[in-house]
Amino acid sequence: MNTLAGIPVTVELASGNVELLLHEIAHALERLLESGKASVIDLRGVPLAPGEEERILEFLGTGEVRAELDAGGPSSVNESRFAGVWVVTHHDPSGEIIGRLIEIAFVPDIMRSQLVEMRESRERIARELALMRSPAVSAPAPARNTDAEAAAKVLEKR
Amino acid sequence: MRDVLVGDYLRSRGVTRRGLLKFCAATASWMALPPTLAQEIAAALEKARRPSVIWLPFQECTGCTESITRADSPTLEGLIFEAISLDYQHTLQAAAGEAAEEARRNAMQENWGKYLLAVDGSIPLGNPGYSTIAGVSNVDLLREAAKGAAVATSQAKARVSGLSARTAEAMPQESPPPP
Repeated sequence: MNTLAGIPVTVELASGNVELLLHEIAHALERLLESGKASVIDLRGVPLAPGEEERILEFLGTGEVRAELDAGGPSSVNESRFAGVWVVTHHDPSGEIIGRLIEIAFVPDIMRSQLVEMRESRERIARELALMRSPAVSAPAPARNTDAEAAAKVLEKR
Repeated sequence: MRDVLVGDYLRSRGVTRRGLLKFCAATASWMALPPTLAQEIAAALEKARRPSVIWLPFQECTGCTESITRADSPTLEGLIFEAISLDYQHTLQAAAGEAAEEARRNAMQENWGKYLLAVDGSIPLGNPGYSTIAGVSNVDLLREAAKGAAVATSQAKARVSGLSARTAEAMPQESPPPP
């Protein structure tokens, strides 16, 4: 008796978006080189059939830069085998993927040092250098227990 | 505390700007917004202040208040110290009587057109004198508070049948300038 698994039919799901998306990446790279304008593609925002996200990532491959961030959960930034095309994957603290972006940029936004924190760093480094320049503060001499000494003298006299 | 910007507050709690950017990128993705908006969302969020909330409990069973005091995500203290500035809620606030009403009037004036108005409980319309606060009928208090609210919401409509319709009826159709 035939079972469902025995029926020789395979269903291949395809959204038709894989090639379109790869072409969009190619155009974005051209735009970056021509005008310096960076682009971001949200992989979760593109309708893809099961397995197609993996196909895109496989096509992009891995390049020579890999970075790990820890900002509200781990994130990974990988340059693909195409320079200027980056895959940025954000995870929540429990490791679940909460976003996957393809950034076509010289450096992904999240990799840049942030201005507001750089300003804080400038103040902090100045404070720490000022502390290094100031003479070491000598520890105060231990206070003498004059009351106890006076009491001991009184007892001696008795 | 209300004057503290969200960005400064997050930094004081150890949330880096990269962490905020990541949150905004994920939020933009969930909301199907263009990913390039993440930077703009982060910039707007950093400059935001905690919104003033005026909560008017009228003829209600205090169930909403009881529920919120037992909430754990966020906790009540987390909510009122970190997310909103609860400027009037006469069951929860320490001030009473004229001091409480003055706090409400001050919050309304300072945040005219921007505060969030939360209402729960029913409002007697047939004889407004059945329920008054500081000598003001519920319906008059609601009309006054609703004039300067950015958003008004009513809770417990399942419990208090017809509240939404009555709230809508009592609400003014347009916001006049602040008193």
